Amino acid sequence: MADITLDVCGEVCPMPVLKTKKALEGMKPGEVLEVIVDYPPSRENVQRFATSEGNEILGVEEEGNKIKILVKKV
Amino acid sequence: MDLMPPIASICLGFIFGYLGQRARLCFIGGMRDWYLIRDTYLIKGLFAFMVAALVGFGIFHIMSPAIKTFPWFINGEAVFAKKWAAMGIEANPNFMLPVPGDPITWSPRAFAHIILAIIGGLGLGFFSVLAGGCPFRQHVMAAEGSRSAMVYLLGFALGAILFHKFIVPLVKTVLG
Amino acid sequence: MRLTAAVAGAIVGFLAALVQAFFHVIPPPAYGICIACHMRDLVNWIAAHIYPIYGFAKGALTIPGGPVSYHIPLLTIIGILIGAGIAAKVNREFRWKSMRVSWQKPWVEFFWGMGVMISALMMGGCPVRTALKTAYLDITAMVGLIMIFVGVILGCQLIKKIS
Repeated sequence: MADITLDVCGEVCPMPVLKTKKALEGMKPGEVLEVIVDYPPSRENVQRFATSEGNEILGVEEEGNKIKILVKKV
Repeated sequence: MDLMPPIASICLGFIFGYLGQRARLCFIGGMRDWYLIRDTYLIKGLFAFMVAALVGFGIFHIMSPAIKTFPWFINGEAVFAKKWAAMGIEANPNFMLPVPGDPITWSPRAFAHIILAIIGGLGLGFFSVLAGGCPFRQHVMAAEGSRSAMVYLLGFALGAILFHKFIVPLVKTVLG
Repeated sequence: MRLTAAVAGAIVGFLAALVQAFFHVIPPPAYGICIACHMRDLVNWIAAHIYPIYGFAKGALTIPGGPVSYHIPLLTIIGILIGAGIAAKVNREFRWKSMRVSWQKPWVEFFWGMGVMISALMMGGCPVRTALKTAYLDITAMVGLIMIFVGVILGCQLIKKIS
């Protein structure tokens, strides 16, 4: 379902948010980006950043140690 | 032997560590997030800290003798004048002299203090951003299990010894 | 009220002022919380009291510290580590991990730690204490806070270039 997958496991702030920002800038509206993090503050940062730009969070799922966030660009 | 400071400081450290881990407090992170993505969540923590401390100092200035020197740029000059009389230095304190803490503490030249603040501040901001957070955040991450942060703590502790053995004499001779 | 960073910051700021007013953390003013200075006091105490037991040069490693820490050091650092560790364990966020980014690998972090401590002691405090000194209305500390911000901007430019 995701058009682009971004894996930032093992990276601590600010890298996840910076890479999410770069990826979102290169996407067309309507595409879905999946971000995989494994650090809870990164999950909160990515969520806060995506909604502050007006994008929509489609879902957040936890799989063991990893957390997947689905962001739809608006 | 006054046991109150260590006990109070360990309790304060405990509260600080607990709240900092839950709320992801980081002062350098606040400045970095504001600069990179205009995110104000963490920098509100910095401002809340300063405002609460200001209010606390203002209230306790009346209630306790320990904070009589509160607005440092007004009341701090008396502290300097007394110390300089004891040390034999003839100078007039001006309002820019900092709270004691840097290596040339009792020097009357305010300009030297400001130079140290500028150099130290630039180094502090630059290295902290590369390390991923302010020193407090690194302590919290070390308690969460990050090996990089534990090595950071080691460098942090050894840096203190390095500083006082090699850099302080240098600073004292250059800036008097 | 949810525990946001602003709420946590306000609580800690007020307690830092309280600790100085009523709990004797005084000979340097504005000393309630400082990560770099208290770490230096702890290292100083360990070097002065424990290291000489093994017969090495007595007093060769001692460094001048804050006056309130000469007999028993301020244990803020230990409190922070225990508090954060308990918070992580209680919320199941504790995991052994090591960073993957090239400039945050463990051996490089050692040098960042040294650089931060040296810069902090040169300035007279860590970022937390500089904020406290600014709240104490010390003008040199305000200059220092602005220079920290400039340093952060330089660091961010470097990160943007190499990421």
